[in-house]
Amino acid sequence: MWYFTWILGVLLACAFGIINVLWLEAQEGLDQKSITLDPLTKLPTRVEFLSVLEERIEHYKNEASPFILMLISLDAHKSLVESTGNEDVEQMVIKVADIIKHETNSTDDSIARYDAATFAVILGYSTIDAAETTAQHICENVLNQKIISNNESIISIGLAEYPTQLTCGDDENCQEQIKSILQSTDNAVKQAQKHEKNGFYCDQAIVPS
Amino acid sequence: MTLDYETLKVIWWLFIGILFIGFAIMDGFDLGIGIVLPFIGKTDDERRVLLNVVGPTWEGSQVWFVTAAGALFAAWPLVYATLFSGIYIALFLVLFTFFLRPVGFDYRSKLPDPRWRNSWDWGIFVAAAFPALLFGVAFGNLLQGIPFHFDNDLRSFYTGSFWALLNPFALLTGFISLSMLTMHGSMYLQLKTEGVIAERCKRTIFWSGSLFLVLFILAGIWVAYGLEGYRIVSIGDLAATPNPLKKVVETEPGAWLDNYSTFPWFYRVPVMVLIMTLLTLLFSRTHRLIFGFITSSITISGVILTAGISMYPFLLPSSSHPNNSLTIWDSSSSYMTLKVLFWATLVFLPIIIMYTSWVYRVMRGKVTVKTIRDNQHTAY
Amino acid sequence: MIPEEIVDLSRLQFAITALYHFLFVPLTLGLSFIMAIMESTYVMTGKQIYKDMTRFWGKLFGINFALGVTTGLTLEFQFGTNWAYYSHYVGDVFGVPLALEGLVAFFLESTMVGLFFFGWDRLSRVKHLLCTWLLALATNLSALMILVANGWMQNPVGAEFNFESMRMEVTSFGEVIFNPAAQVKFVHTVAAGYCTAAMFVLGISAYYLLQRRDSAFAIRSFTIAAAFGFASVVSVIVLGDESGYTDGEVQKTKLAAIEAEWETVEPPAAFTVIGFPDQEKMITEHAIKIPWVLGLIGTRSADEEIIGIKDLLEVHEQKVRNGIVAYGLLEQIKAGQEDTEIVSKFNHYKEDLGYGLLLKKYTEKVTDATEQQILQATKDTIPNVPLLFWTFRIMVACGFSMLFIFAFSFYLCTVKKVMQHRWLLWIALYSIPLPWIACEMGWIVAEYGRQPWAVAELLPTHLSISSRTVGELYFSLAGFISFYTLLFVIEMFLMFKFARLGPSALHTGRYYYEKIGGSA
Repeated sequence: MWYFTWILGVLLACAFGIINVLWLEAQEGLDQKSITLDPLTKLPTRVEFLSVLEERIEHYKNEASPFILMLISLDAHKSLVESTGNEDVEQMVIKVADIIKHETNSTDDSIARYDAATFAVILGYSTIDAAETTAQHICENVLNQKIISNNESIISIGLAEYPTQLTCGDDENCQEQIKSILQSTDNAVKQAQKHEKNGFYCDQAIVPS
Repeated sequence: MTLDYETLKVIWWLFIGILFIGFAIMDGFDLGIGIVLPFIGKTDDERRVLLNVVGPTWEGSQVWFVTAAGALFAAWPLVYATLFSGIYIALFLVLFTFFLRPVGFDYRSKLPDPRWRNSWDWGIFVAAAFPALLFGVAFGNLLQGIPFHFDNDLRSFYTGSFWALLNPFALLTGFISLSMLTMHGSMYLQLKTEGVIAERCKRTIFWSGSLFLVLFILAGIWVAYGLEGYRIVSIGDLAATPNPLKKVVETEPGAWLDNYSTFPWFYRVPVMVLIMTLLTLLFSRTHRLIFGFITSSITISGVILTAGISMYPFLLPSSSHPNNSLTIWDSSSSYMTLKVLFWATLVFLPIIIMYTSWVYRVMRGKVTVKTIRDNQHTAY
Repeated sequence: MIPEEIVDLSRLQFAITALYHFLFVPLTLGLSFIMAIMESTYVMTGKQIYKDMTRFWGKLFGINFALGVTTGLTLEFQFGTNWAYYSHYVGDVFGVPLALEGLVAFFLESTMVGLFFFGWDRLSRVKHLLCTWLLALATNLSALMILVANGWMQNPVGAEFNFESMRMEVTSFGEVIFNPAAQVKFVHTVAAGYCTAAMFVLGISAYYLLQRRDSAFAIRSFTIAAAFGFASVVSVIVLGDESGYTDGEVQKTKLAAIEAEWETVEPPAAFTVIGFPDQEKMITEHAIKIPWVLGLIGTRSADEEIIGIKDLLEVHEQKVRNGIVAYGLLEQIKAGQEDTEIVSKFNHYKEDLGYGLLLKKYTEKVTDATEQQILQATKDTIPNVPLLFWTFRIMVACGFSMLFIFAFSFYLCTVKKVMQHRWLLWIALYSIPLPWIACEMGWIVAEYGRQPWAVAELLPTHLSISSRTVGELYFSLAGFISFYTLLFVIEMFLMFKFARLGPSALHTGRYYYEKIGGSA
């Protein structure tokens, strides 16, 4: 009975396809587990992040693929720790991390918990316009989800593009470049905090548009 | 009732009728909307509203056409062979224009260029108006008979020309079909849209419905007094193995009313068509749109039934050799084929109706310009 | 007598429309299952990317589906328009699967395709997944019904000639549906469809991987296509068509013609890898042979013989002579002599009536056929050997190339080294046309190999046509060629545009072109 063979064959081939791609997912999961993760958000930590950043900069030299660095500062972190306590803070960190994961792309982008009150994101193969859209989405989602009850700012986002004018050039020290781009982004965060609640700022001063 | 061969032959007349009515109702409003597309839809957004009214369901509707043709092939192979090879050019013209429909629906909104979109809109219009007209023309020719005969091996020979199909009576029935489907399509459109589009539909329904009414009455008078009808004088055993060369047929003006005079009850069908059309116009005015759609669907079924009852048991009369005319008695498939397909239809048609109505329930609600703007890249 | 030109034009028109239709069918058959796999993964893992994959490949599916439906309509009507005598002669059997296709499969398919595209926001995940699976199932059931009809043309079982209605009538539907020729053909054809779709997805994903864009999206599509394609191509090759050849006289003739087996040789026969068959001289020049292989594949045994063309011709000549007798008896019956002796004699010979009808090409009366005409009719029973020989080999070559590509891609996926082998990605990209070539060649082998019959041993092709004029045929043929060319150009334009654009076409804001901010 060939018809029977067909039913079996189709089920087998489809199962084969599903299993193969689940195997891929599982392996990617394994790769991520082998690195040190922040226990709360299951995101890589600062050390891990700096090595990824270094890789990206090396990668740029070979492939000329620019990227955007994004720092997301949890403005509400400090006050929340003082006023309500640990459990609420953890809830907020997890929620914000989920929003960031949702808005970014799991293979091209890397997310990390940079320090207790900061997330860092590398947006690979991106432009400043697209990154601004992503930042916008993150801010909107954070606002819409009403993560904390009172009316203060929850996050501020700073953006900077690599390569900047300052960090171009092959012979320059990689560590210097890392410092430079982190500096630019950090400045942008500070600008964002000055401007408005839950806003973002792009380090335009040194980014050629 | 036992399922003997004779009964099955009659049942299949009903089944094919149901499939064609299904086609006319379901694909009818797709065609109707195609006809009014460039007129009721003034802007691109409005046209997209029209297209998305039928977007999720037109593929399913079109299958009524395919299935009706397939069932025609299986149940009456001689009719399928003789009719389709006879009206060769006309059928290919319908098919060629029909090509533009699936492609038009699917491709039109894939590119933003206004010239691209406008061309497809007219393509869809042609793909709707032309077949709607020609389906009516085909019915008109069925009523008059077309010139064909068989040789001893039952090979069919059609002796007419393409232009002979476009005679005055056939054109009259063509416009009946065109106006009827325009009314039906606009009725569905009024049901599924709101605001300015629904307002425009109301006007279209009024004039196309009125036109249909006048033409339908005119055709009735023509059939009663002018048109040659066909009548079987003698035929052998009705349950015999089908062979269309073994009967005698005569023609006479008004013979198509034989069935009505034998069973006057049937006069209610054409009268119902008239009443239902008037009701459709009324319901469209008073915004009882669901009722309007139901009455316009009944109108369509009534029109097909009216023609079917007139012709029964004829399927395809031959104007040149009346004795070679095809009837349900002598052009059906074998007993076994009819029986197997009877059960298959009995099982599957309700299932089809079930999941089709489920889809309509899932997709219920009005389509508006806002829906289109929100689904800019997924809608048609 | 029927003018040869009309026969040729009708055949040409049918060949063009059928081959054109089958450019779109295999992709529909396979891509629907690939979409079902992707959506199943989406429902299982909840990851957005799988929904995006389903929707993007669905978009390409839609572009393809529109033309598949359009061109399928033509075929549904063409039996009536161009093959009227065929429709009358075998409609009692052949029409049934076509009607069932509408009732059982095509309705479901077309209803679900609407929900697939428009139902994302209106259905729950599981319900939408169910629609996708039903869509895939229905497209394949649709193919099943059509191939049951086609299988019957290759190996007409479960039907008998009825002289009262002058046509074939069904005796057993079970036999028609479970016809071995139909079963094998169905499995082979749909599996070829799966390969086609897998190659399509594999090639386009390889293109994104080569461009290093949307790599998460592309690698997942690539992985699914590699596994699904590998399983399918193995089925196509292993199940193959071979077992079908042993049923029925025409399939035997087809096998002998494909392999250019002029003589019946001591089993197991050798397989001719390549050579130049000469139909006139009945030899294959410059043949390179592998001993044993053909005998083993063709008969699945070491001692059954494969009958050569020369021996088949002898059998066919006897059948033509029987056919003349049958035709003569049928004429007597039609003239009114329906006594039982003539009828029972006719029933004895009617199996070969079709071979008698072959003579209709040369003489109207059949019973007055000369020896010369009988020989000609016998010779007609062998299809064009060189053509079948070559098309079959091209098909097989394409099949094995795909086996290599899928096997290697699958291997690289499991060891996670796809990106390190860019050459394979290039090959995958440029191999996209391969499955289509194989499919079209396969149909040529199957249907050209059936000649001179429309229905094997029952009805010759040249008798099957409608009584139309040459002018009308040129009209419809010209119409088809111009419409189909136009539609093909438009389809390819859209297909290339959306394949190049990639998942950015979904406008989700998550993919390459939207990030670069370029046009989409």
